[in-house]
Amino acid sequence: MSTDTATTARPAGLAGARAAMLDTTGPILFRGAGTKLSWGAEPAGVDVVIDTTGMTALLAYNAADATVAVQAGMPLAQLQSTLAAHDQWLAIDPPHAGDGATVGGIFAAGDAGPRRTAHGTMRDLVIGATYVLSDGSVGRTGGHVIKNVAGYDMAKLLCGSLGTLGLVVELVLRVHPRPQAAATLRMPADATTASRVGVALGAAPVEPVALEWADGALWLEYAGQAAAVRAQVERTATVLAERVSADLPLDEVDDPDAVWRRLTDGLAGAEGQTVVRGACLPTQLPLAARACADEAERAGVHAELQAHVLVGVLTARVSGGDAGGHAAFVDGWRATLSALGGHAVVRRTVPDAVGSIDVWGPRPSAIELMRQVKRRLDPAGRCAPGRFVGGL
Amino acid sequence: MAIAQLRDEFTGLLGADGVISAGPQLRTYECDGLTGHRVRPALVVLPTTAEQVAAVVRACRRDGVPFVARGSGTGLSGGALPHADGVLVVLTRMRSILHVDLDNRYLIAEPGVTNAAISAAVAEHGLYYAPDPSSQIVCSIGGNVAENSGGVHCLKYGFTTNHVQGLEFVTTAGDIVQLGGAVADAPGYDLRGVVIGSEGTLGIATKVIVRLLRRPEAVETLLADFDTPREAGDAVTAITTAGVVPAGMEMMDELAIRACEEDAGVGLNLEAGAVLIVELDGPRAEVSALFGEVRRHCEQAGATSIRIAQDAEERALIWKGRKAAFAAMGRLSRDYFVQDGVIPRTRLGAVLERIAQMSEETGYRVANVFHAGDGNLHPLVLYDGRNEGEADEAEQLAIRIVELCVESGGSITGEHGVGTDKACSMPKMFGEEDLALMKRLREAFDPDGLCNPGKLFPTPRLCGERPGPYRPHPLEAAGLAERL
Repeated sequence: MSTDTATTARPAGLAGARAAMLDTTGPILFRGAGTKLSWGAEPAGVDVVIDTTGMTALLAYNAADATVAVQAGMPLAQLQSTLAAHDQWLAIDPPHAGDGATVGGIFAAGDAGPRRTAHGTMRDLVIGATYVLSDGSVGRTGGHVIKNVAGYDMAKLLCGSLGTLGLVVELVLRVHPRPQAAATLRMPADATTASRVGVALGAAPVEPVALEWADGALWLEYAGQAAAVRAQVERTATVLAERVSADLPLDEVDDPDAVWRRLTDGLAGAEGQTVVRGACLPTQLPLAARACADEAERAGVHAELQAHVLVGVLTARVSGGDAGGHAAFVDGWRATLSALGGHAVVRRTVPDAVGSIDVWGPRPSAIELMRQVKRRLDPAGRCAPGRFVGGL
Repeated sequence: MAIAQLRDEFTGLLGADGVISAGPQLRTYECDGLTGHRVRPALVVLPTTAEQVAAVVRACRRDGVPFVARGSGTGLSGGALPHADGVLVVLTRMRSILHVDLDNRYLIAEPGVTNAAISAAVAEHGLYYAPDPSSQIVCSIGGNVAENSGGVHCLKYGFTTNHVQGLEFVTTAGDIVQLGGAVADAPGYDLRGVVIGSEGTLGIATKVIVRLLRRPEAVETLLADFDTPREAGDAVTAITTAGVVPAGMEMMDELAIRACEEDAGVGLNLEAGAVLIVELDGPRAEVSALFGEVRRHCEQAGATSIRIAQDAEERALIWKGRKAAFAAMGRLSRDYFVQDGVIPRTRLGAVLERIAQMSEETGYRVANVFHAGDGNLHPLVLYDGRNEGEADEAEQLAIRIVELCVESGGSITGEHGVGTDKACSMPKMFGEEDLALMKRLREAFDPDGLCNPGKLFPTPRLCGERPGPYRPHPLEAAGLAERL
């Protein structure tokens, strides 16, 4: 998005962030490493960019309580290496960790990766937050303990809000023990097989950490105690032979880190692509995949589909064709997903389609409540105006 | 006047048996599980559809009449305490399970369906709903949503907010909207996330979409005796530091052991200073590997004996003893306050010792039952309400204990909620500005302040009043209302 004429502030903490917001009355854009600036619609204008990459402090880490507090600009990779020294990790694996993606940015975008299948997303990991609103108000929500129901859970509201309500400056997170062992299996699969494998594994006594369908194959990860990982690998072969197909070739990959890095990168897409994040019920994957192929053909574009099979979350990467073709693909695929009870949101697109492509699709039924929330928390409409669903 | 007209309007809408406006039946609804606080509602309605709920809300909004939603009324913080001039919307007649999708593992229930009924409905397919508050046989899923209920297994599996995927929701304007849904990542602000745990102050859920989990392949449970709670606390820290996330980890002290044993007779060791229940679940190989480790940590922390549940029956018995804890307290004391506070679990030993000191200083016995894995304490302050002043003093002790939790880096409530009970303690945990921003959120949902008013936030009126086991409502004291 265009921030050419904006000034940039790079505060070191809460006080500086608050001062930067009060320094102007114009629209503000919050950014971390800048890896997801393409998400959402184009904001109506940006006077000030508040860059959080100067806020990288580790505020508190109590490994025995499995909680950590960080400033929002802490890069995820840096946090993970701190936690790894205590055999822990923040149980999230979004794209862009290698590009400096920050904990706060991942939170604000609600981004996640294949392992959300077992661990959920940032909304499930954040137990407390400190945030600043555009009028300079500072609020805390939650706390430093995992179990806590005091007050409204404002962090849920801010998670995934793309910086349209306010700026999160500090986050308290629940961390998890790092698994002792892991294994990744690969099997060739079309969408129908992928969906059937998902249902079969869902009904079997195994606990996949991730089940990703991409490039005509399924990638399945188990993690935990070494003996348990082995047992689940063996059980998987039996279960799939019984419930899916007797001759499904199942191989264990020997470079799992490279595999998952590639699959995770696939979620982000690349320049020259339109990336559409869709969702449907897990068993609707074959219908969604068929529609993806059909709409691509109709729109004269090429589309690759990737899915978190057990979650029903889909990523389509569209390339080729022209801007109109990309927009037509989005409209067509979205129509099918909507009819299935799902939805589709554009995460990035080609330069010519910016501004004309429909990023969000139909307004949610609760749009009026969302508008009221925006109005109360950002009364002057300064936080990335127009970036969010329904022009919020 | 407005109430009389509303009564007639609601009778037309819901039928005569859907409205209670007088008589002993009203009294049934004057309190929830926090029985020390009682208010008779002006009117009770029992809708059977979301459209009826919406119509009731619209009429209340039109006439400026407060309304309060109530499920089974088992809440322990007075979140469903009625408003004296308001309408109590009781959702217990909306108790159908509307849809079950086994392959995609979710279920849609009306708000009055009990927590346990959800798991029962899918048990034959090896599925269940994870959050399991102690009141699960009675409490409703709608109430669980309001309170973000946890339970003994939430350490590993999370709370209501992690298991409710979507809601059909009646706004305070009387509109019916969808928040979240069976499909992941619905576009827009996560209003579902903020409504869950909002204690009925933002609107009324009329359908709840819950995620179902497959029953774990293996479950192992052990019961370890310790001489002191501090040693049991050390075992908890050792287990979690080793990277084990038990499905449940519960502790009881000497007094609680005595009460449970007298009540449930499950074979707890009356000589122990503390018992720790640790349950692991998951794939069999995983559970086997970790169970030995848990056992070793208990022994190293000083466990005097360890009993391992040999079968599902023995496991159920152990949990029966634990879940009976509150009810069993009646065997030790005529009256008690149940407290609900959270501390970082590594502070467990120190905080327990301080609670013991406070008990000694004040002369009131305190029994401790807690979800040790997540640091959620339930101290029970025992007293005899027949003795002048005891209720007040015991309550003061209970309040000081929860303040100790906050000072130790914890929270004033882990699962019971703020409600009426702890609204005045909110400033201990949050600053004025924190609360002001939460109020701005509330105003976005409920601009007229009619939806469960007087809960959650401290008000001069509320915090100037003295709660207790029972005091007459101001209307009663003024001769404007009476108890039947």
